Amino acid sequence: MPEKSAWNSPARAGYDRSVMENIYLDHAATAPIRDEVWASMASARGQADYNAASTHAFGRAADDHLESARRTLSGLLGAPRSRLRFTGGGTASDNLAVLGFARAHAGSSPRLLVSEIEHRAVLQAAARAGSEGADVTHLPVDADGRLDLDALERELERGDDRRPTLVSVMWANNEIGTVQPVKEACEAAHAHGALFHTDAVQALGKVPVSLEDVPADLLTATAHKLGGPVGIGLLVVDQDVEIEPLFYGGEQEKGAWPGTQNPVAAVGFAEAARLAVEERADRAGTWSRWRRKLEGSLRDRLDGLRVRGGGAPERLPHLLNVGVPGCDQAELLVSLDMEGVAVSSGSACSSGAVEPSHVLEALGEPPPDETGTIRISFGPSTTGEQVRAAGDAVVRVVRRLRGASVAGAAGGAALGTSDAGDGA
Amino acid sequence: MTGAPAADVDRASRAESGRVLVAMSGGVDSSVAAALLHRSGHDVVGATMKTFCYSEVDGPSNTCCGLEGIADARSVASRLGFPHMVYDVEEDFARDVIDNFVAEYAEGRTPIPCVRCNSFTKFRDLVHRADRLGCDGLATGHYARIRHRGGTPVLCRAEDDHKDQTYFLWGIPREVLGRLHLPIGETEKPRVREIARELGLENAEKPESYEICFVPDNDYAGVLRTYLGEDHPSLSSGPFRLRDGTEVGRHDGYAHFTVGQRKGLPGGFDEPMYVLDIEPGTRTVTIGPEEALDSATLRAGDANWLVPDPPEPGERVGVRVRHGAPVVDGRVTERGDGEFALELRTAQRAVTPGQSAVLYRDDVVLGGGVIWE
Repeated sequence: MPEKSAWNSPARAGYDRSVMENIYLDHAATAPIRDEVWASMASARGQADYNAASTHAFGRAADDHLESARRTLSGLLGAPRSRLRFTGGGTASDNLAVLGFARAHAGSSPRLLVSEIEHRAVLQAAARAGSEGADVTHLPVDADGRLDLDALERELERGDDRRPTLVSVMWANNEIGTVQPVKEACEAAHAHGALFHTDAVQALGKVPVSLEDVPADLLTATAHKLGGPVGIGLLVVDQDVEIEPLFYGGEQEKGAWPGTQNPVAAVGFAEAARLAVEERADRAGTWSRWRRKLEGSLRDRLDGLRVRGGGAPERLPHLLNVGVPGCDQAELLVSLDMEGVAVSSGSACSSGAVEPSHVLEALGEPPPDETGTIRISFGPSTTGEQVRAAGDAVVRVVRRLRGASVAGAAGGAALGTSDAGDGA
Repeated sequence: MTGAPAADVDRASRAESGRVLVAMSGGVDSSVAAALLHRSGHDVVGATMKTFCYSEVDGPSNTCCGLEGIADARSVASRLGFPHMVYDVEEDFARDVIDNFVAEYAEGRTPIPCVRCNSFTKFRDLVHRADRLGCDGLATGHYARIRHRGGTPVLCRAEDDHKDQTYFLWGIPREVLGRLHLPIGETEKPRVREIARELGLENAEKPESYEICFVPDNDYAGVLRTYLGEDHPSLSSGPFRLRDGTEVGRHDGYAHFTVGQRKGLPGGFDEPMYVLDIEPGTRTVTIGPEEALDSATLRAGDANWLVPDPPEPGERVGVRVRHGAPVVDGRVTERGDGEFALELRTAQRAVTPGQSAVLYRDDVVLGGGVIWE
């Protein structure tokens, strides 16, 4: 905790905007913990906050919470409970899947076929595996970010030498929301004796995600995109899949993720996932309607708007990524921030500076200093009014950045009259 | 949407006080400047420039604009609760500052990249950003003051002459003055320290940013080698000569020397010797005794004026010829298009080509130029 001073006591914290004024539309980065999830974790107080590996009564209580969370999640994902490994989050699970697979087969020159728009957790884990001797191939996507299945097929056919092969294709892309043909990709992989990993971090709770539908061998999920706590994720590992742990020192999670388990977070994860999956059908309908309206309204009011993944056959309902020519990325985000609208560019950089997104580059999109990107993502707390206000703020900000008159941007009715945009 | 910290000053009242874009290096001065403006009720936006590619610099970057600076500036913004952005000026910075730095050394001069950055990159860029972000004001953490004389905004020296940074600011666009805030120059030092402590910056042990941001470990010869190549004339052997032409030794590149330098010269003379002149064509470094360094006249180019009435020939002015040197009396002898000549009442030591000559009328900065000779 920072020391107490006049500058950081709550009264002086300096956050000017009241809760009511702020609009949070960056749920794809982190969805704030839901009230129900806080309640579930609080109700586990005094039970889940012990070491689940301890053999005494306290430990057993914690273990019971942990396993009950695992049971809930296994039901939601359509996978036996014994195959779920809790990890530190999505990045952790992706690394465990990709690097763990490569290291488990280090002696047999393993192959990794990964789409070029995977999350960096997959891409950089694959690059690391490559430096350790794995053969890494990047699979192309089309202009909407959808995997080229023919290219996958060709690569799989090339691998007739019975080398252990892992295909990794995310269920849906975190930056542009394109849903991948994971069922087809998984079938293709299996037809050639390859294993299939999918990062379902953004897809879970937004589109139907079930391992009964898509029998992936490895699946990544995480809690904090669902309104659960940061710091816990899971990797589903099908039986017979060999994964070398990334570190050592315990038998927890069947040795795949050693270290004391986190039953409190697991409880929150399970509750968040349960709510997200239960509410999915209802929310998805509302969100996609909002997204279509917002997209149409922005298209109508801003020249040259580029809707990323706009032509994909299936998109995440809660996420819209638009490119705005003539606006600098950093200025776009800070301007919206000043308007009280929290959105992102979809990709971050360690220094906070804007770096070209590998996803947008793969789509052939222009660089971020010419065309700023706004990724807007809804969550359970989002209201239609907020979406409309955010759309107006985007228009206002873009017009100012482009040096056009601000006066014309004030109208708030445009979203309500833009149903024509639905068919775009 | 729950749990956001409570508001202190409401948004409308901040908007009324005006929105200010603050250039934040991550150092103490600009952090405190941002804090002061925020505390006085302005709607503050922090901006940190990324001036060059940090990945090309080994080790932890300890200079003001380094990666750590970006993180520090961001954490100050987070703590106080205002937006912060990082923007990339690598291309402009390389062209306007680094290329000039290298070219000047190759010509045997001693440039001041901070002047170039302020004149060409930082302030111009800030103005454009401020306009686009809807900021009326701009601010930096410089020790200097803005005053209004007869309704005209002017740049003035800081109270504390040791801290005064106007030597680096003579080249900024004059139009900026009307919207520039320099809160550090207006605040007493104990107060600045107190705020720094409250912000948790006291123990940051940030080095003063005298080191040039793109020159790690002050190894500017290393930078020159990178840009010019190992065998560039400025980095190749040449003669040391006395004023009468006698060769008294060899050096390994005139870029290692600057007028007035004592270090690295041949020994064996009755009195300490100093670099008097550098002649790139023959790679000659001329050395001589201290008194030969003194000069009572100078010419400067690339002049910029920060007042509507620049000094006319004959006018007596205050002159500073290097950072930290006292302001001395002088007289303008010529003023032409972008250049001027001065006569100094008392001869100054080591008036160095490439450094700046800054002119003052009492504490008002009139403008300045780059010393030619």
